[in-house]
Amino acid sequence: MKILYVDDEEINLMLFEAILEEKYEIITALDGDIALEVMAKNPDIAIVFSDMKMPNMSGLQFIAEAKEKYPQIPYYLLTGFDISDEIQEYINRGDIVNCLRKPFDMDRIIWEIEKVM
Amino acid sequence: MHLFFRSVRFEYKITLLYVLLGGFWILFSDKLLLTFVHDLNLVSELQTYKGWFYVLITALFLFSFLKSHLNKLRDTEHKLIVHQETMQETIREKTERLNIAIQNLSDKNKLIVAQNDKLKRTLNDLKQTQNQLVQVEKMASLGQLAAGLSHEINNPLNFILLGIKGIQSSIASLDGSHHKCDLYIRSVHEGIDRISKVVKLFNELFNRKKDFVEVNSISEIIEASINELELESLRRVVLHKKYTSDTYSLDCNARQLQYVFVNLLKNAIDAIPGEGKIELFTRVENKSLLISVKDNGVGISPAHITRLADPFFTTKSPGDGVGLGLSIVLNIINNHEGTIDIESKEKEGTKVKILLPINNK
Repeated sequence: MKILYVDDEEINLMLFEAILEEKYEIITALDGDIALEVMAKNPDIAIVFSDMKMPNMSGLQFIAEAKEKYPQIPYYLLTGFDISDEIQEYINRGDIVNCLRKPFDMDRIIWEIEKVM
Repeated sequence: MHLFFRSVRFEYKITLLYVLLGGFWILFSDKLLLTFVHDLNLVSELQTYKGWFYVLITALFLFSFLKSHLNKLRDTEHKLIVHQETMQETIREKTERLNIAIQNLSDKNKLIVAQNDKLKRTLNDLKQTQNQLVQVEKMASLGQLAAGLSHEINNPLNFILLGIKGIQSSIASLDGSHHKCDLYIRSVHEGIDRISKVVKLFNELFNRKKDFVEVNSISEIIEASINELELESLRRVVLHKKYTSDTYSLDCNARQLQYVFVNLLKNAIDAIPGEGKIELFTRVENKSLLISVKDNGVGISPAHITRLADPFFTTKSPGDGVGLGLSIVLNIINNHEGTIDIESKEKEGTKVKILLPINNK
């Protein structure tokens, strides 16, 4: 099962992958553009986690674009900020399954992944 | 001569004239009479007529003199009276004008005082608005700072949390006992937990979001807040509730208000060492909704009551609270344009009154 994690913090990507790589196939991307390329190459990605604040494109912009192309995939947003009104709108519309605050608990991530499975 | 005559007073003039006329008459009238008449009997008879003539002439003279003089006097007197009257009239007029001028002045003075008052009020309003603006600006920039800071803290916290998670699972796969490692890992978790909580609270402190929704009752929000309390505390503290039956509606952020009530109820419970009671009621007052929370706990000392809203002020032990609760409560109530009033007596308890504006019907 392929999981995509998008974050501009490389350490986060490395740790995420290190912890989960035994259970799942983790694909990481440093920003939204790279993530969209990765998604084009991997149509079997089952779940997407994205950071909110990233260069070029915000997490919400990336998810909006990805959701249009791949509407069947569940998207999760991760943020070190407060859950803003805009994020709440995405959640209400169902574009985002949930928004998790950083620092996030890995068990919660695993629980969300298992829910999708 | 003429001048001399003019300057001589009337009584001297008339006496002199009388003496002269009389003298001349006595001296010359008999001589004149004797040149024409020689009969002594006739002279004697004529002298009687002459006497009458003299009396008549002098009477005429005296009459005309007196008349002209008295006329002059009367004229002067009349002029004086007229003048006096004119003077009085003038004085009255001037007094009147003066009074009007005084009245005008006093009116103008009143106007100036009123304008001065108005200016003072306007200045005060301006100062207040300026303070409010500065406050809003301050809150906005502090909010930005808090959001930025929380992002910068939360990301590294994420590494730490993920890192410790990795270490934890690595240790789990090793053989042998690692009970000390459990303690170390627990401490890291506790640390991360506290930092992330305080960052979240700090963010909440400057939250000026106004995603308000109209509600017809606040009791549901209060009930949800009560549900968040620990059951243990509700066993030792009795909670009396009385919600108003009046209808009202208010615009609010339910999540923020729930934070307020949870905080106030927790504070009330923490103030009660053993068993005690909390009285909670709501009431519609004018254009506000009053929410009152009263406990019979230990109360707040006068030294502490003024510092309640100070961020990071707390009497609780580390880990139980960082002292941001009431600051956030205050911020939320301000955000709702409401007021909060805290009264407390040591050993008797504390009463918190919140007034929230309700919508006009």
